[in-house]
Amino acid sequence: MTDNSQASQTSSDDRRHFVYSVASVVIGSFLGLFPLIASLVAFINPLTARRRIPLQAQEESGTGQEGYTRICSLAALTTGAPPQMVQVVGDKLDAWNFIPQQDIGTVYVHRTGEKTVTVFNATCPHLGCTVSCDGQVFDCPCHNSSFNLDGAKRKSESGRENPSPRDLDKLSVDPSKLADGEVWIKFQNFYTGRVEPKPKA
Amino acid sequence: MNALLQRLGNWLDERTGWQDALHHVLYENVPGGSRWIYVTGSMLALAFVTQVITGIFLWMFYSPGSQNAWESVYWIQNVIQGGWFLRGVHHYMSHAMVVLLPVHLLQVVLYKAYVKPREMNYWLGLVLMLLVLALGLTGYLLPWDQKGYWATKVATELVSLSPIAGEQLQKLVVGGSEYGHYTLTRFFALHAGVLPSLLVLVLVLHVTLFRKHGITAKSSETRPDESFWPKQVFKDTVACLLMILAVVIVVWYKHGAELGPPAEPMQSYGAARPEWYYLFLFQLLKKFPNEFIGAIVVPSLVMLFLFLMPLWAGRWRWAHVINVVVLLVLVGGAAFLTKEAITHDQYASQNLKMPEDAKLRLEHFEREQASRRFLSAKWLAEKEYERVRELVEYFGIPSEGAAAGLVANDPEIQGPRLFSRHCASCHSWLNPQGPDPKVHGVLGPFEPRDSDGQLEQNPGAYAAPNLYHFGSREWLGRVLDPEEIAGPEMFGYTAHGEAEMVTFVKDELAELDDGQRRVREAIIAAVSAEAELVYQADVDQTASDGGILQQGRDALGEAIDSSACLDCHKFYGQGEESAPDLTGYASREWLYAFIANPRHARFYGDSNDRMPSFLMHIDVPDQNRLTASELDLLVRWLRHDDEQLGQPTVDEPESPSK
Repeated sequence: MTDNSQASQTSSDDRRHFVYSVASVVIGSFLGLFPLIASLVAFINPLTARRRIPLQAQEESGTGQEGYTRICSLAALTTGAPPQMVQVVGDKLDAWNFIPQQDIGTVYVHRTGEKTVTVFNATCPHLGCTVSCDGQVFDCPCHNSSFNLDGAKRKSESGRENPSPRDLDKLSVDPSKLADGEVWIKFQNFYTGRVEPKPKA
Repeated sequence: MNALLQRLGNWLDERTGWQDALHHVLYENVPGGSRWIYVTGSMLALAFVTQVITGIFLWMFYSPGSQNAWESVYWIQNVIQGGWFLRGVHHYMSHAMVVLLPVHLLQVVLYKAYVKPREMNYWLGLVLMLLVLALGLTGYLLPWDQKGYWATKVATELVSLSPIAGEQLQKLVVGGSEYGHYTLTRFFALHAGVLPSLLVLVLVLHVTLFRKHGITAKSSETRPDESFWPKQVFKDTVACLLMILAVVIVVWYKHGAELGPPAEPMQSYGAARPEWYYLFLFQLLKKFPNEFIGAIVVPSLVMLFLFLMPLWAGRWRWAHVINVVVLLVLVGGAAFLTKEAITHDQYASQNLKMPEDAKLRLEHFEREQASRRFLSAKWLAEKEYERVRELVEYFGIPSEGAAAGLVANDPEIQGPRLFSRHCASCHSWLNPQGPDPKVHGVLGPFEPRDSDGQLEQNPGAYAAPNLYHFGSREWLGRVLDPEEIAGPEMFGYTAHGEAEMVTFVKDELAELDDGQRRVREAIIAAVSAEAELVYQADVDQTASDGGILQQGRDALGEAIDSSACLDCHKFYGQGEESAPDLTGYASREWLYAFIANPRHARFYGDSNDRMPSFLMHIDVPDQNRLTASELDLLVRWLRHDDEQLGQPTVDEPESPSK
């Protein structure tokens, strides 16, 4: 054999080695990733899942403007009295469980006038604890956020810390229902910790 | 026999090489000899092994899911033999790990074991630390009690603030937009699957690299080298034994890990706090008007600093010293924040003096009020848990879970909640004779203060009576006490504060002779007996047998000095109707009707202060503030009809009067 043929033999060996290496690495990585890929589609379900309201409940869904829920009567509120905590009732979905007519949220209703109310989501916009109201102010039990009765972020007299980035989240009230003496609100939860309220999907 | 063992050992060694391996492990050289300070790594390793084993056994009893998790942990804690101990060891051993981690870290840095060529191992150690902290965080949620639920909720809210895809990340962690089954299944998978596997992987690398580089110390003339076996092994085992002993003592003393009442997403918990080793982060969150800084930027910068420490440690002359100083400052800062968080929560129980400075005084009262709310919420939660235990004992746990199946219908648990929601803006419910009358109960409104933080001289009508044991002899005793009736616990801050009743009590009951005092006692006994309180049944019976009740009833119509009770009140058709009817006073029917409509002529009529009518519209239930069943729960709790489960309660009330 000539030197030349020897060299070509080695280079073809090298080439073959290279092909085998690349193929092994590619196939190997796929083998390693396969279990992960097989799992990922299901894993990201929370990002893609839709609310699956059972058919019967869909048929029975209430009257009233789209997305609005009745929370109480105006008659149950006294003008100027401290804001009243009210539970919002709706259909609750928890993974495989469908629980109709369940408390799904907490709001404060403040009757400010004969036919005017303001409704706040009771969730603290700081980090999601529930604020309490002593009739003077709203206070959060977690990190000392504090709000006036109109929902505005409050500067305490002593200048004590108030870490909330924004005012309490106001919920929109259906004006026509309010005129009839009923409080219907568009109930929403918002992302916490942001300066601007952003509704949770 | 020995020869046989020898042969067996050799046979195995030819096939496994175990003798070399064991020799390699045990006879590693320890330059400068064994030391007590070297034990921290072994302690952490042993603690982790304990966690794996106790964790797997807990797993055999635990069921994730929002109707099962708390219930299965309750069973571990209260029913399974030795379950409280198992759970306690798992809980407090994790605390031991968190205590040892910074010690191990400090030791590594002080001994300069983080610089070249050991940077990689130092980084692996930091990763291990983060994994342990993540295990603590995920484990805190699994019992699904109020404390774990609300504290962890804050942590996952923070996830949404992360700069890249925070909202999506939050959904992936929580398993949806809201907490539920999938939050538990995911946290459990993280806690028992993902994180421990990662930890084992990193720990193997950590130990391998440790073996590769050996111990940092240099051999010295004064301290000869030793091998790992037996002296260092001895020191390690003794230290581990002491750690286990400490954990067992704490577990025994605390009777295992704490468990709160079951989580209720719609029932906010006013004393939600993370585990103590996260309190410094919790406290940090209060400091910044932007959580992003407190929760993400500051901790990230600290972690970044820790990771970068070895890179400059060898380059500049003072870098190592600076690293040590910064690390000590960080540990000290964390300790300070932890202490501050605890101090703020316990503020009201420290009986601090009111500061002179007006601004400090205002802060003093704000801290005190926040602390009272915290302590009250904590006390109520402890009561709730004790009550749930009774309910489980009596009814068992229904398949819909303890929260929906037991808590939702129990007057003793729902009562304080309804009270706090509907009554506490005027009334309080605090045991005046209790160990801590300022916080053991439901708080009413706080005393109004002026802008200097001083108590208002004339606060006006801002509060109404403390309703603890309403209708009992003690309660009525305060009504007929000239010192108490116009005090802050009674009618002092209502529109009745200067009304006829107060004048009557102050003028005519202030100086009584013994005979009159007995009449007053008899009246109290007679009116209180109208309530038919279960917890007072015995004394009522005795008084009835002794003729005292009859004496008291008769005395209602007789003037003590110039006026009699029946000059204003009615009693079984006798007397005037200008004040609340004393017939069946504070009985279940009376109280139900009273709260339903205190403006009714039977009660306060037109002289009613600001008390709303809670269930006035019998025909239009929608327009009421309380539903009939809510009002019933509230009344039964105020009277403690159901305090003793299984005892016959008084008859159902007839339909409330309009």
